[in-house]
Amino acid sequence: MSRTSEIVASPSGGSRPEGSSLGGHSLTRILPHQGVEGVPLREIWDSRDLLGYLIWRDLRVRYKQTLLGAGWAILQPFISMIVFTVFFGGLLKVPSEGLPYAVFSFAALVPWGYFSSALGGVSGSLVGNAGLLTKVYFPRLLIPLGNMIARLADFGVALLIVFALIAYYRLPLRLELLSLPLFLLLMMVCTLGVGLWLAAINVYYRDVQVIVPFLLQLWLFATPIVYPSSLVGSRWRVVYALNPMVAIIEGFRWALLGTSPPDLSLWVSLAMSLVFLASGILVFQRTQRTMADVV
Amino acid sequence: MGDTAISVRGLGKRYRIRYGPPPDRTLRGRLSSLISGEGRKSRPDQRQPEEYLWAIQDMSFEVSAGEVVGIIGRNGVGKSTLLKILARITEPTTGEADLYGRVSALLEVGTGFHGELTGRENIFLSGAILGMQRSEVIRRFDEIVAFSELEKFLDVPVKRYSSGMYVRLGFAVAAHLNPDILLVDEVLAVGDLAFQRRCLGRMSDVAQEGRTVLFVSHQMTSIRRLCSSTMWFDGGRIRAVGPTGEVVARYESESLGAAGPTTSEGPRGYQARYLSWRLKGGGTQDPHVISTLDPVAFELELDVGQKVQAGYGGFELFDLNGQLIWSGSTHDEERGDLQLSPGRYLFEFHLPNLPLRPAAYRLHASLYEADGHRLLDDWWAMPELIVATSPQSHPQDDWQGVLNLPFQFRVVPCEGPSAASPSPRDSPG
Repeated sequence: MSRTSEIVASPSGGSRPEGSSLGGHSLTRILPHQGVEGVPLREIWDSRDLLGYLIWRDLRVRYKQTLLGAGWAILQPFISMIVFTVFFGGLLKVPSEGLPYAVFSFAALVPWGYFSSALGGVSGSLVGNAGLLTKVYFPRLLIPLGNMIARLADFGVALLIVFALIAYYRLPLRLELLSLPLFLLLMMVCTLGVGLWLAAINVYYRDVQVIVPFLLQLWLFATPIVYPSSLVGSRWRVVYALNPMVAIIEGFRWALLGTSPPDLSLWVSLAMSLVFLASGILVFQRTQRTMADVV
Repeated sequence: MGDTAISVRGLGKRYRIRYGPPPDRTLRGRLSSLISGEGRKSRPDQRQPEEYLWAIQDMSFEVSAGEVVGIIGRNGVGKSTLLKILARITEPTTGEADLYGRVSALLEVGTGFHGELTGRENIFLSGAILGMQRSEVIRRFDEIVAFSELEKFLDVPVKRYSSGMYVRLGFAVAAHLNPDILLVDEVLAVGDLAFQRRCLGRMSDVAQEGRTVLFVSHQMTSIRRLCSSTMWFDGGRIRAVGPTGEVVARYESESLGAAGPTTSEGPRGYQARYLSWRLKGGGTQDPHVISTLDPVAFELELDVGQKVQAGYGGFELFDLNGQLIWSGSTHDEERGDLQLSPGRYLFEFHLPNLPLRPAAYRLHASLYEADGHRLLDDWWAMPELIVATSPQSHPQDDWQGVLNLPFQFRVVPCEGPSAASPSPRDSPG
C-alpha cells in the first residue's frame, strides 16, 4: 500500500512534520503511484486546523449577501412541507401513520434536505475549489469532508423547527430521540460515500452536475418522505431497502415521532452506506493523483 | 551547506494531449478502469494512438540546504510543472524526488482567498491553506497586516479590493510562511514598483535566513539578485546549470539574439581575417565571460595572408538590441595605419573596466585597407561576450541602465531650515 507521499520520519509533536531524525528534517518522498492507495488518516488529522477553516469558510460564505441569511435553512423545507401537506396530505390523502401530515413530512424533509444539499455540495466541491487544487497541496479529502460537515449547520437549524412543530401539535418527546445521533452519523456516512463518487467523477465528467439535481428528484420519491414506507408492498421491501436513505428517514421519523422503526432495512442501509463510503474513498484516492491536471 | 534539501532523480511528467479511441472515453469505461486501475493500459486495436507530451523528462538535480536556485526558460518548458510536482499538487509519471523539511509552495498570490470574506478572515484562511498553524497566524498577524499596508481595509470583503490591494494582502501572507523549502513561481511580477521592491527585499531576507528556495521567474534581474545558481530549462530538460550570472546571460543571449552569427568569408584568397577573440582578466574560466569590474583586455587574433599596406581596424561592442555600446579603433595619430606582413597578429584592447549591466553583448570587428577604404574583413565575433557581474543598480529590470557602475549613496543633512518652514525660499528679499 503506497501513498502520494510518505512522511518517513516521525514528526516530533505539533501537527506538521517538523524536526526529526534525518538531519533535523522530515523527509517527503514524491513518487508516481500505482494501485490502491490508503487513506492518509494521519495527514487528515494533522490538517484538522485547515479542515476547520474550510468548514468555517463554507459557513461564512453560504448566506453572504442574502436578505434572509440562515432563514433559508428553515424556509426551504418549510415551504416544501406546506406544498406536500396540501397536495399529498390534503388532496391525495396519503396516510401518515396517524400523525398530522405536516409534522410527518417535515420530520423527513429535514434530514432529506441535508442529504440533498450536502450531496449537491460535496459532488461539486472539487470542481468548485479547482483554484485550490491546482495551486496548493493538502489532503484532498478535506474538501468534500468540510463541505459535508458545513451543511450540518442548516440541518441543525431546521431540526429546531421540527421540535417546534412537535410542540405545536403537542406530541410527546420520546426516549427514541437518543438514537438520533446514530441516524445522523449513518446519514453522513451515506452522504459522503455517494458524494465522493460524484465529486471524483465530476472532475472528469461535468455530466454529474446535470445529473445530480435530477437524481435527487427521483431519489426523493424512492424514499419514504411524502409517504410512509408501509405503503411499499412486502414483496418490494428488500429492493426498496437497498436505498440507504430509506432506513435513515425511517429512523429519523421513528426517533422524532415514534412511527414504526426501521427493521431489516437498517442493516441493509448500513451495509450500503459503508460500501459507498469505502468504494467512494477508493475512487477518490485514485483520481486525486491526476485531479489537478484535469479539473 | 553540505546537507541536501532537494534531491530529484529521473523525474518525468507525461500529459495525455489526445485520448485514445472512443471506447476508452465512455463514462462506463472510465468507471471500470477507476476501480480496476487498468485505465492506462494501451489497447491493441487503437486506430488513433494516444498522444502524449512530456512536460518534463528525465530530470535530475540536487539542491543543498540554504541554497537559492533560480529556474529560467521560455514558456512551456516545464518550470511550473516541476514546482507542481515538488509541491505535490500533481504526481510525476516517472522518477522520484526527496524533500527534506517543511515545504511551502507559492504558485500564485492570494492562494485560497475567498472574495466574500474580509481581509482579516482571508489572512487566516490563506494562512491555513498555505500550511500555517492558527497560532502562527495569530502570532504574526500584525506583521502581516503591516507588510500589506491594508490596516484600514481589513474588514472589507476582498472582492471590493483593487487588484493591487489583493496582491499585497496575498503576498503579505505568503511572505510570513515559515518553511524549510520554499517553491516560488513568478509571483513577484505583480503589483506596483514599490511593492515589487518590497517583495524582492523580503525574498532576499528569506534567502538569507538559510531557507532553501526554488525560484521560477522571467525577471532576470530578480534571478540575478536572489539566486546563487540557476537552472535553465529547455524542452522539459535541464539545458544548463551553474552560477547565475553565466547561465542567465547565456539564456538571454539566445532568446534575444535570434539573428544568427555571420562568419568571416571563407579561407579562399583572403588578404587578412580575424580568427578568434578572447577576454583577459574577466575573472572566470570562460574567455567570453566577464564577472569583475577590474581591468580587462580584449584580444583579437588576426591572420594576414597577403601584405596589408595601410590597414586600420574597428572594434565595436553592441548590446543584443543592436545599440552600439562602445567602439575602439586601431587608428592613432602617432601610429598611423598598420603595415602588416603575412603572419599572425594579436590586437589588444586594454580597458580599465567594463561596467556594463549584466547581459550578453556582441562584438563586431572589421579591417580595412586605407587605400580606397576597401573592406578586408567584417566579422561578428561569436560567441557573445557575457557580462555576469552582480547588478549594482535598481532592482527592477525596467530600471536597469546601460551601465553597471558601483556607487555609494548617503543622506547628508543640510544647514538651515526647511523650505516648508516659515521662511520660504520664494519669499522676496
